Amino acid sequence: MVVTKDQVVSLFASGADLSQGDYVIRAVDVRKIYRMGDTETHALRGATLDILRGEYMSIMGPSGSGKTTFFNMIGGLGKPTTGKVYIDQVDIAQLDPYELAWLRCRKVGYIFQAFNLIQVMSCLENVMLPMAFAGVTSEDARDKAMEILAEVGLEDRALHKPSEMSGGQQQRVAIARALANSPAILLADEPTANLDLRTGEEIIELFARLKETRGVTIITATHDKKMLKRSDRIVWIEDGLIERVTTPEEMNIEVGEVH
Amino acid sequence: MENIGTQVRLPISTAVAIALQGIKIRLGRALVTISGVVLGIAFLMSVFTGELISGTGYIKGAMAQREELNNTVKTMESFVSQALGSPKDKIIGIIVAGDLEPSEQILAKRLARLTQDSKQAPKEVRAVGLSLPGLTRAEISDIGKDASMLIVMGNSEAFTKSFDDLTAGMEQVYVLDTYKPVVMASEESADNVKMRTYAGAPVVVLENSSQKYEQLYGAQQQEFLKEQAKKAESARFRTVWVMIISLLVTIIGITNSLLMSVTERFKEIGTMKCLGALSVFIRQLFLIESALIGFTGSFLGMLVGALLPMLMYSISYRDPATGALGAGFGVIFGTINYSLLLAAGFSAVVVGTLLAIMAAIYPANFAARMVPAMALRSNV
Repeated sequence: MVVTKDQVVSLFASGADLSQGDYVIRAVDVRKIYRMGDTETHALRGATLDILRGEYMSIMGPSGSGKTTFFNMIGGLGKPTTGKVYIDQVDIAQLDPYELAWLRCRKVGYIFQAFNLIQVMSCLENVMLPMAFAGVTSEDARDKAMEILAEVGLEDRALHKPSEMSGGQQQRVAIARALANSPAILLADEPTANLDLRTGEEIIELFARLKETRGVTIITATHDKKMLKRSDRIVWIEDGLIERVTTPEEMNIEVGEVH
Repeated sequence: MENIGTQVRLPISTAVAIALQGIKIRLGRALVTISGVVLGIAFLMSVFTGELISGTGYIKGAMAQREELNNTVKTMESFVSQALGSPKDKIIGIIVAGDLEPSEQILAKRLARLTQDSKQAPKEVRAVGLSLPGLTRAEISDIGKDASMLIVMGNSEAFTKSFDDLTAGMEQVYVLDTYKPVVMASEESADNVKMRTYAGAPVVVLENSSQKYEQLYGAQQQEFLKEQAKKAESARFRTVWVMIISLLVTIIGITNSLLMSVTERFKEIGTMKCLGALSVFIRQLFLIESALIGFTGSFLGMLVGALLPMLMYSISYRDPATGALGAGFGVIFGTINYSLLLAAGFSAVVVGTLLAIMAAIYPANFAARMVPAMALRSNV
């Protein structure tokens, strides 16, 4: 691993321990400015954050805080105006569209609030789709997709259409799809927001299990207290800056509290 | 930067498979779009087919040929009536030498039918070498006896007797040679036409040239023909114009429908990009979807546009000799130029498919430019 001057600076800036070393995502002084005509919106004003491999990280923040922008940056869905984002040691700003697509295909698995399954495809086809984009032959893709569906407990629903399934089942298919190319990172945007309490818990359990079995890094944008409680670290973003990084214990989250 | 690769381009077959699934699930909209293409291409194809059936332009249609035949018969009839006046109580002789032209056959049939018309039935229509109900069989030597007019048919001029002998029994000599076509009449005379003499009477030979026609038809007739040609020209221009408009409407229809389809699929497209789809792939997806819609629509439209005019012309076709309905199917389906029809159909399908692909360029680019972060929006 070649460590650039920027990286060294940022390591110290973020106060991270170099001995732990294995960062899957590193955001260094990320700024994002949206221009709409004459007005400039500073969505991010210098956010720096390192995420360890295998970590379960939750990102919180009020709407308009730049949370979504930051979330997009570290997921390879947007490029910063200034600053650097490294995903698995690769500076995403340097990538051309083909390399970005490659990165999104193999390094990051995306999980959405509204599941975003392709309605016209069966569960199996949905899970096979990222593998098709990665150029895997359909026989191999089918076998692997069935394995992953078994891993999330849906092998017997493989040929069903998303519309025939419950929300929790759909989200599990979506997680299986995100795992298709064995990514290093699972990026989940409010994954339990469209689910009831019990199915939400099942999804949280699934995340925890995947973290253990696959060693995958899980990053969620969420306000679900149960989810926050299970995470290793919680990032609070406000006004385009990383306000604080805490553990659930420090935040003293009480599950079951009426919001 | 050791661990980054370049995303591979997927084979077209993958895009076709996904586009087909897209059409299947949005079948309702796809059918509406397809029917738009069907209408546009059916219109285009019906113009082509109509041209093949009744066109008078570069490609002479089967019906146009019939029409021309009809006109030839009418011209000959007008010769007869000009020379003869009413055929009532007159004797007409027909000499057939050699093979008959279609126009001559029709004329002969009409003359034979004339004998059954109570108002202007001639006293007798006698014929040599032609047997039709209504015609009296005659010897060549008697053909001119008391006859008011002789009509010479067939492509041969080899008579067994001279004209002088044939016309010997006639008081006034009117001879119509339908083969040339030439009228030899006893009374007419002009300086610029060839004169012959049969049985002591002067005979005017009017040949089939525009100048000579003018003497028969007159300047007014010429004016009328020019007018007709002008009208046909402006009708053709109008047709082309309407054709272009209808194709433009088809394009706009497809574009609009695809744009709606794109906006509806913002999340789906964003999701696919998140999963590693390239912009090229998304563009392909929409181009292929449109091409499939365009091909299906223009194929159906081509069939409708070819068959409908053929059926309509068939049903409304009247036999030129008898004026009867019902024989049209054989005539239209038997005489239409199938290789040209096939070529027109092929071009219509190609045009329809290409137009559909053209219509998809803007929506496809619009979709391809979409950022993957669109997938995260829960409100679309």
